[in-house]
Amino acid sequence: MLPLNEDQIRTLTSAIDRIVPADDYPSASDLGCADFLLVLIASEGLSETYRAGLDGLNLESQKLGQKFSDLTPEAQDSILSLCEKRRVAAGWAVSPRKFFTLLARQTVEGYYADSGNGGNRGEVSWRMVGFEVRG
Amino acid sequence: MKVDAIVVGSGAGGGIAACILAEAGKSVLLLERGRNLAHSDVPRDHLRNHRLAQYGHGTGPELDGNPRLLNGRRYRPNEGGYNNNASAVGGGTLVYGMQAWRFHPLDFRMASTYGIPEGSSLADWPISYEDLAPYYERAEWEIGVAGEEPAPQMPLRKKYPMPGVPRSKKAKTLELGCQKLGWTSQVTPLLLNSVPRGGREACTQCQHCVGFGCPPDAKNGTHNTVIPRALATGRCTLMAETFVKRLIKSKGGRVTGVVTVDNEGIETRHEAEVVVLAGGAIETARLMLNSKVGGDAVGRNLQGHYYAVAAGYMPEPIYDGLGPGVSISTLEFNHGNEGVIGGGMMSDDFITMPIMFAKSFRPSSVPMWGQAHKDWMKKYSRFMQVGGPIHEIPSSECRVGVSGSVRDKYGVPVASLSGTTHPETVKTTKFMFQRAKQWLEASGAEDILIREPGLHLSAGQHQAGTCRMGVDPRDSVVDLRCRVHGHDNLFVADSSVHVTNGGFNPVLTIMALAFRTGDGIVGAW
Repeated sequence: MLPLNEDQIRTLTSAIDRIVPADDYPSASDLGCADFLLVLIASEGLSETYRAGLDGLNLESQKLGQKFSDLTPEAQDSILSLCEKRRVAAGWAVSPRKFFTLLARQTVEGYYADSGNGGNRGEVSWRMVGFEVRG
Repeated sequence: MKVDAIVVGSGAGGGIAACILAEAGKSVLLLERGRNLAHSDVPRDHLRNHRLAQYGHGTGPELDGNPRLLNGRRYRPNEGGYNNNASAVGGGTLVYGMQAWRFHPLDFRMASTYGIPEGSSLADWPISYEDLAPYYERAEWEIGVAGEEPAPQMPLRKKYPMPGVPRSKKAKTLELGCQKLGWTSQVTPLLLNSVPRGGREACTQCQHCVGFGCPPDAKNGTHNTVIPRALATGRCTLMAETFVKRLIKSKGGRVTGVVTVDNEGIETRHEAEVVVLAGGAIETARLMLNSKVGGDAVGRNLQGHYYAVAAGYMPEPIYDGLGPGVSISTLEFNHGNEGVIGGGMMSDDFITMPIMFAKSFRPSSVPMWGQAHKDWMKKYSRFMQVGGPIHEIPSSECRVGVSGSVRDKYGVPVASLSGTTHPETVKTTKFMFQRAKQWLEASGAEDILIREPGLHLSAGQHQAGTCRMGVDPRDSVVDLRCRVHGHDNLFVADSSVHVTNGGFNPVLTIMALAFRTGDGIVGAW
């Protein structure tokens, strides 16, 4: 069973694509970081934190009348930024800052660690930074 | 069944002690709590290794059921506060960075050279560099070191059995930096097959070295050198996944054996004429404390290494992907530094995994997410770092105890670490941070990042000092032969006996002492 519902997965995918956005190189979800996180959330017992945090992001986006995943990238960034700076209103079941920090840290882990962990498909991020694996 | 000798722990020290005893005709039982892993069993997982143990570390101890306490807080084996060293057959040598340093002659004479700072337990070793030199040579040849000439700060020695690893692009740049500063440098000596040796292949210069297994089996540890030699005698039995709960004592202080427990929870008594402890500075002290063996000095003077690391960026890409990645060192600042006690060796570093770069080297000016973070990650190929271990100034209040309430999965009280290093260690570290920065600057690096060190306990993979060697049982645990005071058949053959831990990676010293202790046991049998 997945640790998150469909809505939460949609929110997760949008959020991680702001943590590592697409440029000449793929975004976090393009390289499999959502799948990486789903496995990690289950194995590390983080379902409750992630559910609460992703619901919290939607709570904030409702103030703009939309689901988080339907917002523009700029609007998504400003919500994430408010979480980082502890400037979101009360009503979250988890500390917004704590959730944001975890999300950012673990997305970066997925994107830049080995592809065996499920993110960094095709070792694309390693090609991007210039880390080659031989032997 | 009774054997001649039991060796507890199969790492750098225990593997050697077992080999010497078995080759001298003794029957040996070598006990190891970790698994018997081939290099191919150690995963190449960037989030679970001994450099970055975010969610695990790929060897032992298992994450569940083996906690430790640090200042009262509970830690799992993959968390920093645990101060872990790999448990497996070969111990840390299975996954280590293999730097093969002899300590400097003055490292053995710190108190005479610098005086004893108030509140520290700084002391001279009761043996000298000259006492250990022949055993360093044995370690260099029998385990196998690759390297070139020693730096001018060190005594002359016999040539190593193998040539040094080739210099990377980073090392060549750092060499020019040294020349500009008038500093001497040398090729970093490594316990590594730079050419085929001992029936095993040479290093393929892959990018996954320290913290990982070695697919060509070119990394020389005890698991692929002295332990196979011990087993080949037919007189050594290796029992992996076997944890020693306590020592068995008879009246009059003799240790007559050990009680082990296996994965199924089955307890067994093993008897021996001689018992050698080599579980590392934390677990050896824990075993002695849990067995009520040794005096008040057991567990004190816990020390490891502070590291002074500077990181910066070259104007052009400098990454060449040639592993292991550490190939140049300078010994300019191990001693003779104005206003500070001791110092340390500095080197370039093993190839940094991109995720380690992300976690350890992000400057505060770079956000932890978004396009700016991604742009910063693209500077990876211009990144360069230098640094090294600082000779710690020990404190007798930095120590290993055993918990009164927390037990491991076998019901044995866990190690409880407390205290900090002495403030002089911080002072020397600050000095060395400036030297690391200076080296990078002279080599052409920009935007150099250093961190302000604070006062804390350091032990980790370089843990040492908890069964100090000395003459007086009031402030030491073992005598000059590394025999526990008051127990004529109990010896310690790991870093616990280090009086101080040198301004170098300590493994070659652990190995040299184990050769010496093993010879001593055989000679007096």
